[in-house]
Amino acid sequence: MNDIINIVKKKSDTIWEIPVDYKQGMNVPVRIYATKQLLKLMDYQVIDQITNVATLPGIINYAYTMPDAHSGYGFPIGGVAAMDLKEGVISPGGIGFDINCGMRLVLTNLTHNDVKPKLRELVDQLYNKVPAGVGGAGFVKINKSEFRDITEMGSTWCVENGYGWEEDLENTEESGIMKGASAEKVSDVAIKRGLKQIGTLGSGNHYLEIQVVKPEYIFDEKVAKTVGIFPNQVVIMFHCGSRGFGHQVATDYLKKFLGVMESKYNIKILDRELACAPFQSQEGQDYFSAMQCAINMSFVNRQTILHRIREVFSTVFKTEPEKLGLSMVYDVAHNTAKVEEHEVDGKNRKMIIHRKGATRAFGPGRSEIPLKYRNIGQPVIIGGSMETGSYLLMGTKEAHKETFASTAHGSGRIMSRTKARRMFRGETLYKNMLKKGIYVKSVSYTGLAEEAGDAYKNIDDVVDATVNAKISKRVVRFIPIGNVKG
Amino acid sequence: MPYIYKDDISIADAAIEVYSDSLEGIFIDSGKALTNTMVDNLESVDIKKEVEFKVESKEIDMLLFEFLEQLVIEKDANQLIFSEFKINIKELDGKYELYAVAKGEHIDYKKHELCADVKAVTLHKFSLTKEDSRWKATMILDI
Repeated sequence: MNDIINIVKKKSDTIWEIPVDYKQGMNVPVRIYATKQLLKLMDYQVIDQITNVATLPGIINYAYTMPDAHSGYGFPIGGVAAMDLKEGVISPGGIGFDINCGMRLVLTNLTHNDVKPKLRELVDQLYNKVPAGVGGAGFVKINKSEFRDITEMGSTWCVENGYGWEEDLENTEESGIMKGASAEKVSDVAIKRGLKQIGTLGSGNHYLEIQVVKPEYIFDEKVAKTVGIFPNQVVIMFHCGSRGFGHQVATDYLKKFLGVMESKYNIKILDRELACAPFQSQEGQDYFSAMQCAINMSFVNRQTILHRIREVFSTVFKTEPEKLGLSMVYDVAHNTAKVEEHEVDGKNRKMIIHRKGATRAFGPGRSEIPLKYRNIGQPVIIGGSMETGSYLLMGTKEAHKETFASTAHGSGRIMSRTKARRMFRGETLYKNMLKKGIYVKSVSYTGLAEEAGDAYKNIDDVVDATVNAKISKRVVRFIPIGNVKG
Repeated sequence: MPYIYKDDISIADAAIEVYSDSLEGIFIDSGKALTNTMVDNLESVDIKKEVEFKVESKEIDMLLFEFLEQLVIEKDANQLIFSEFKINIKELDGKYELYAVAKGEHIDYKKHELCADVKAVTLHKFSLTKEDSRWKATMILDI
């Protein structure tokens, strides 16, 4: 077993703690949500990074890692940190470069048998209609002024322009629009990078998948029924973000913060990637506004991709998308900082919650959840590797106490991309997946090899950990049958 | 190869160490390493287009950061990738100025064996140092 087990103190089978005196400058202890098995798979850098996060000014209660955590840059992926609104900071590194990288789950009223004969046609058409990979350009042709509108209007722009249904808004976190977004706070370079990218998937771990609901994998029939899930149903899940636009917003402000952090605000950090500014400062507020532009752009990206998915299914099945039941279950954001109210020491307190590679998981009753889900909690969509499977979970009331309503976001890598390229051959992987009943269409075999299932933690272990820690509730597991990969 | 991918530094992203005997060389090879992260066969990127740009910084490591960032911007904004570079660095009044000519072509899915998209250059463990007479750069590119 690695050294991590000697550093952490066990609080329960799924909660481990690193005390505040572990590293000089830590303001709060660290809490790691993982089973012992997942802890064994964690690389030491996660510990180094999350204990650095614990040194940030204004951090409340703990610096957290979720069960799928792995090392990133500055913050670990799967890191959560809530900062006090007055005393705390905002850090682009705590949000991630791919701002509002997120997941969307879409229903159909089709069964596996309906889709099987059309699967190749569907995947091939999706591959053609939703550009993936390096430098892919999208179908939405807009000028810079329209792009600025998009960054302020979010998904409402899509509904106004025929790329979405009214109900899509309700089924998106924040109703698809962050109202504090101001395009004035965004650089021209960022707009240049994002201009051609609306409606594109990107690469890396971004994908679009056709999945099946096996009857034995419905764990909560009542909740599944409420969200519109039935046995042998085909659903669509996809994962993408704000593309180059979000990355440029993060880079622009990272550099700005480095220029003022120490000289103007006397904040010292242990890693330049943790550059930050007081949330209430001009710089902090400017970034908060620009970051919301990127959240909106990402909502639009996923919304226009959904539009294309509806077009493809409609063409292949020669039926209107409404009649195919192509409604969204929900859209969740991974890389964000949001102002939320949570209970701390018996009192409600507003805070700015950084979730990097982590999902918001509101329990039943929260007013932010659409009415139809308010009694069951917020849907949480967990994407697995392209070979294994994915999950629909629900947020819990316990998650509010434990992690400020945060949970895992995916499987989490355990193998570097270069190692995966050495270990797996893309072509062999393609053939093996085909044998398993998964038809994958990828920009390149190399990219495919990097995303091999064995490069990731076991999704079931990650979900077990979130369920055992009571930060999520298990509803359905999905099995992939078709995949478009960037 | 003047650059190596480091498995033990980053799991999700691309960690690279670059070595060169000259300052210009380390910029050139870092640029090539960035392109090579996205295109498996670097030699398939032909010289059909040249882009000239200038970046500046007070610190030499941030000059490299700015240079690499420009290459990422060109990839997203104009779908251009580069396999050759001409670099000229000047030190004036306490700051560095870099004049670059990046040579390459538009991304071609049929011709280039594309891998992961480099979406950003991160500052995590980012460094440019000179040890004895050899330059060493360490970078983690966000994938």
